[in-house]
Amino acid sequence: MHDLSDEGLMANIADGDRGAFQHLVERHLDRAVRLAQRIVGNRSDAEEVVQEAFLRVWTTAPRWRLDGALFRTWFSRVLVNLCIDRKRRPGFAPLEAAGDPPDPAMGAEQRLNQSQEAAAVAAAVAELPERQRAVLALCYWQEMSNAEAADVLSLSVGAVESLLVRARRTLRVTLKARLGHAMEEKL
Amino acid sequence: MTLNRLQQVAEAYGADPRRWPAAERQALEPLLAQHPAAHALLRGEQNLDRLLDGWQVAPPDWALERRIVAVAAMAGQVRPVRPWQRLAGWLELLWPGDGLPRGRLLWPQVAGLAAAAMIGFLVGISDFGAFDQADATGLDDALTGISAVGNWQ
Repeated sequence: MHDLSDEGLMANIADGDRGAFQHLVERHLDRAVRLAQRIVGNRSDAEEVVQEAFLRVWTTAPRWRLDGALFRTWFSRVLVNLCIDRKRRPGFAPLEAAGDPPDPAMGAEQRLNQSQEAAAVAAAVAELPERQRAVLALCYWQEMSNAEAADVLSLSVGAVESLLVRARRTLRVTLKARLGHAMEEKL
Repeated sequence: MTLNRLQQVAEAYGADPRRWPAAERQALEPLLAQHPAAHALLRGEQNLDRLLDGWQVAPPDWALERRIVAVAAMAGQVRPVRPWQRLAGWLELLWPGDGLPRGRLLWPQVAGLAAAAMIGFLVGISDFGAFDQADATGLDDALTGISAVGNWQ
């Protein structure tokens, strides 16, 4: 089963194979949680969204058709759409987004700086418009090609590039304001 | 490829050539060696990249995996609807079930529907004699459109 492609696993899941489903979850869980957390901004919502996305994989597998798309692209589309829906809910509270604690091997001042910078980045990303946030998460942190990100978001490659430029420009301005003069010259 | 395009690519994808579009990477990388100004273009993007890379997200707790698999185990799967299942669904709407097993309930109803259709067909055939030839021709023309075709010629 470890040799099976995602699409092969989906064919087995369509026949009700729970082992194939578990294997697919193991294969994509880490990536899915990281993507969701960078879009919704907090861990608990990210985990709920990921659970919902995988449940959709299980329930719809018998009707899933390849249609030329890779599972990874289709699943990313499901996940991104669920993340955007979650953020649009009234009363959604995004932040708790500092991420991993800094490396304990660093000095105290360095740890504090890194922690502050990570928190500033998380807050700045949370303020981006949803499509800019999604495209940045896909292309920068998930290292997807611009063509695959365009496929996930049903956009042209040119539109993806334009959203990336706008996202990075906005982040530069926001981070200068959040991190103060120390970053002013660097950014 | 020009420095202008290098700047556009760096502003979108960052300073690391590994993130640049594969189709343009080979053409853009030599610019870094040829133009000292290219490095200056990338410097601001490198600093932004360093900040973005610093936002790490912890890997998931594997309890989440167990939870996902457990939730799926309780859920059914949505299977494609076959035409005969669709027909059964319509019949179910006409005669809602009353707690009896579906198969036993459905067959007498299907048989009743077929018998009613057969009686209607037989009554229709026996009444054909009442049509005169003109009516029959008119009906036939209306169904096939032959008269209309004739008028076009």
